[in-house]
Amino acid sequence: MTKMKAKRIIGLILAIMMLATIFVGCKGKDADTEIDQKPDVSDAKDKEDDNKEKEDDDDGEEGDTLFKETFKFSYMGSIWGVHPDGGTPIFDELMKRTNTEIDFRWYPTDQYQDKVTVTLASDDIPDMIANASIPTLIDEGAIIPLDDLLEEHGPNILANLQEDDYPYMRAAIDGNIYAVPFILDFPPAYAMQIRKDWLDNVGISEVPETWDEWKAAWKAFKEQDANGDGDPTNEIPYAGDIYGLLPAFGINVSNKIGFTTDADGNYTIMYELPEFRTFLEEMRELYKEGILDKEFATRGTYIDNPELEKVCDANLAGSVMTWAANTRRTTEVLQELDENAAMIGVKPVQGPDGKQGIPSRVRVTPTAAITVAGEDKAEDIIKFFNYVFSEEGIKLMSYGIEGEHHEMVDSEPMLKSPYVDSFENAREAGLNFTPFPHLFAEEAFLQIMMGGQKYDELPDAMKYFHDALYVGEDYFFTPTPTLNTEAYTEKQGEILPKIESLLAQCVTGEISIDDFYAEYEKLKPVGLQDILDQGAEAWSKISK
Amino acid sequence: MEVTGVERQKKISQPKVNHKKVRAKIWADRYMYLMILPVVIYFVLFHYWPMLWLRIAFYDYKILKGFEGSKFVGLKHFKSFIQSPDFLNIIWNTLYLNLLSLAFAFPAPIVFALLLNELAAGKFKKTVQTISYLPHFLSMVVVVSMIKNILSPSIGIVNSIMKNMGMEEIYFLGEAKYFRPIMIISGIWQEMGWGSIIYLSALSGIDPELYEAAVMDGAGRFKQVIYITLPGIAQTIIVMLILRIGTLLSVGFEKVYLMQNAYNLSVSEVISTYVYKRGMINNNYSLATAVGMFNGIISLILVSLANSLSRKYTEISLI
Amino acid sequence: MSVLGKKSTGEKIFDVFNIVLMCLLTMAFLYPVLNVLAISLSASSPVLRGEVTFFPRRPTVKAYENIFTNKYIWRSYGNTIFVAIVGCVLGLIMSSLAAYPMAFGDFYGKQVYSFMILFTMWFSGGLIPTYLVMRKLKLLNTYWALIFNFLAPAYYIIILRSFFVGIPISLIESAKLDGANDFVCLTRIVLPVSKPVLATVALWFIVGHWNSFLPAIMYLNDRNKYTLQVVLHDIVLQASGKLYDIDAAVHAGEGSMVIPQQIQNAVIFVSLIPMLIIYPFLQQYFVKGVMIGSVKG
Repeated sequence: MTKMKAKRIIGLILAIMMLATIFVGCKGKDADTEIDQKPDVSDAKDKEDDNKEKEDDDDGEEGDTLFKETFKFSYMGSIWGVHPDGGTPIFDELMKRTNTEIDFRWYPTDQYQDKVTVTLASDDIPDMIANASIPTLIDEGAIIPLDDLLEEHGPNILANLQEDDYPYMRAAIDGNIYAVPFILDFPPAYAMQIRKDWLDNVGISEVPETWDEWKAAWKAFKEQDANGDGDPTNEIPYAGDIYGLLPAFGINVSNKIGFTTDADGNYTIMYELPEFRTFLEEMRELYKEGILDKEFATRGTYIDNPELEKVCDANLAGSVMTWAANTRRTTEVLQELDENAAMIGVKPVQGPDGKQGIPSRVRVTPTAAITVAGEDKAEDIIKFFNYVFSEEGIKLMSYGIEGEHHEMVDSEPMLKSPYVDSFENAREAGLNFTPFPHLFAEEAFLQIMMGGQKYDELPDAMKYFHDALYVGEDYFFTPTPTLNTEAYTEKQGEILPKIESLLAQCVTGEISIDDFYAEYEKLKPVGLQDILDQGAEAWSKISK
Repeated sequence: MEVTGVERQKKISQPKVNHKKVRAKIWADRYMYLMILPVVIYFVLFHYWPMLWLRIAFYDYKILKGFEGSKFVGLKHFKSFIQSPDFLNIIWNTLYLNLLSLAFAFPAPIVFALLLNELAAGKFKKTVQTISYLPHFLSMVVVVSMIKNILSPSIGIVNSIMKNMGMEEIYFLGEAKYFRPIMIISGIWQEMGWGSIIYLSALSGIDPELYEAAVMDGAGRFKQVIYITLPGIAQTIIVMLILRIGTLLSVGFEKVYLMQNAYNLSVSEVISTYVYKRGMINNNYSLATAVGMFNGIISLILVSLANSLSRKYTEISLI
Repeated sequence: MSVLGKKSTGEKIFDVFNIVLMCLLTMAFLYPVLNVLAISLSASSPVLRGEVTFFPRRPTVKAYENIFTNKYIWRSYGNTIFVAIVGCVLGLIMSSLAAYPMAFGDFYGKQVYSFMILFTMWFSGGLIPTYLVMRKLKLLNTYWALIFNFLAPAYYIIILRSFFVGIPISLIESAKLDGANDFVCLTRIVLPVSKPVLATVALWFIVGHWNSFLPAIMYLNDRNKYTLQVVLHDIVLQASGKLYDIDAAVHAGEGSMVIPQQIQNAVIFVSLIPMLIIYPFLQQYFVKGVMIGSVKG
């Protein structure tokens, strides 16, 4: 009998729970229609209230703002880590100065592309979409070209674009500009790096620079137990992918896809260059001698480098070419065990023909596009961003508000702690806020990177990092963009992995160089030729 | 199991004599209909309504333009998949990986459940059970990064052990021939414990009296397993097997994609990774849907075959 | 079983072998998880050097502080628990309702009905249409979207059905002769003897909701409604300082300053916790003989 009772009670509880959940659900549903428009109803109300107050405050200087009547638009972007709930102090200030109200819809970075897709499928498309794949948006007919608008209403934006930036700004498919950029004027990014203490261990006093010097150093690492752990076989003289060595052969490429320009400035893929054969020969030689990383093809790339970091931290890598920051991390991690450990940045490797190079950071990212839904507002949106790219706007976006985010020292803005302590802190305040188009000043970026300290105050590892950023300065080249032509979009997924696979087999000696080229040529009729042709055509349109 | 599914099926297909009887039968089953009503509504709303969009497989579908504005292309996407030079290789890779998994990974949880069942009930058994489920909860990214670490020639534990034993080190991820064994073994490790839950629950459905009777008859433990335990969970095993056969053309995308590299591409390209590269990277939903439909149709045929074979020989079936 | 009869030598050898094998397997299952825990509790340098195996080196709880000071984490825990419990209860009700007619019904249209359920195992509309349906039904940004998205998977229905089929149909028939309708049969006869399979499916529902990530990110817009996995993904992404989009990473400028693997591992461990808590509760239903025993009682 008690069993029956218990069952009834459970049944009752279940029924109540169901009722309760239905009730909760209904509440949710009621609010839903509004939520669709704005992330949070109460939040939006708060904003309105805020704005009223602000308007009251600004009564006297209303004529100064960009817009007479409050200009409203919606902005969808992706964000990660610490988010501002409504806005950031810097955004609030920006909106106040321009009399703008932006309805931000931030979503997590993970799976953001899918979120964009479903948003497009709904009939509630925001006026601007940021951080999405521009070629996809063009293909869906979701965004509008901005060239004329920029010409007319965005002189500041255009003034901040350099000639090299245009191939990155223009869509390969039609040569138009579709997005307002985020610009970071900070060319240093990667560095060739070597273990200074290993050089000492094998008795080499000079940092290698020429191909022969490098080969001598690598051989010494390999043969003389450079890390001193008693196992003479575990050193990897040159760790990581082989793409980092391409510039030493005069092939200026910054990723594994490998698009570049030939001697005449035509768009092509690296395998077409005569230098590539020399590169292959040398790589096969290095691999045979055990200088090259045995796992070069599975170590990721120098851009996406967590696997590479692991061998650096495990005291196995003698030299690498990757993010300059790797010098600092490796040194810090290894110095706990051995205070002499030092991964330092050096000039890029000089190839057999004396070529040297290292890719610089690309200045621009086409960030936020105006959708068909925001077409009517497009003019004002560009006017708004024109302010963001004005001298005043740049100062606000890079250094924040005087007194709060920075102080003037010797008439130069210096970011204050805690904003200068880490990129997370900075981003939380809205500084270097990459999901939103603006120009972030080189000096401000360096201040955050160095934690607000002067060079002389820095610990060794940080000094190595700073030096590594600039040591290759004379050899920076601007990489050629990968052009998303129709053929590329359709065929790259099938063709590029095959070439990568052939390349790995060729370097390990599984197939000969002639076999490599023979197999490579076979890919041309099934799509590679289309990719090359369309790329060359698009390049001639957008590079001028 | 006094009445099997098949016998029940026979009951259903009694000859219909007249409309009166039909109506009377429907009225007699009114509670059944009432019971399936919410289920049918749910499936129609949340499964079949969305399926109307499956016809995008026959369009060059543009999200903003809808069906009116998109171009009807008929079987173009199906053709482009089937006529791809890699088609046969991809199908073979997918099937081969699945057949291996069917041969090794499918029985693993059954064996594990049986072995667990032979342990004396107690803390040890419970602990082993709980721990065996843990790998299931690690995300694919984590699992794959563990596999890579463990097998790496430079930092991996397997190679350092082999080196200490005087063996030649092996670059497991650098040779295509190791790809399938790695996938299968790690797959068993990930899912064996979790997969055994269903069998453990089936095992707990076996009448203890059967074992008591067997002991009276002098049957040893091995014989008990053969004559009581296995038949007791046969229903579950066969249902699981039929369902597994229905997935012979699908391989979880994430793990293969993460394990894929320049060396193993020839054996590691499966349908799901191919579709991802061809379709999803460029948001080509039409192609992805077409391949999904192709997959679905083949799977449905395979399952129907397996199901009718099973119905014929074991009298167990899915529906 | 072993208590019932005397053991032969062969059986003894088997027992020893079995225990040793189980110990080895346990080690294999446990090592990665212990490793995760150890890394989450170690300082960063030993982790980066790859020195952490079973036990933490230079123990610290910084990673957990980092996670639990995230202001969204507690709320998301609550949200997830709510979704998991309601989703599990409703899911069990719906799946049982769906499975019972498949097992015991002999009504007109049963074949069609069964096929309707089975068909969804291989064909589904996909992300966009499901989203649009949720939108039409005004379920976006509510937990209902997550619950309905995972209410009665065909697979679970089949599993329930195949268990129900094992219940003697005579029980149902005699109850019906006594005037019981199908709802009474389901709740009074079928469900009480199906505890093991209900426990299994309940576990699947809870774990499914617990680990579900994509639906939450697609159907919810309000950060305060996010479930645990969304927040955890975010923490990991932030900790790694990297974006999946390489271009953006170049511009974020952080390349790879510091990667606190500890945070990632702490996150993994945090998501394992519910498993360690719920499973022992459900385990009691996997005891031999539950089913037939209660049929007789």
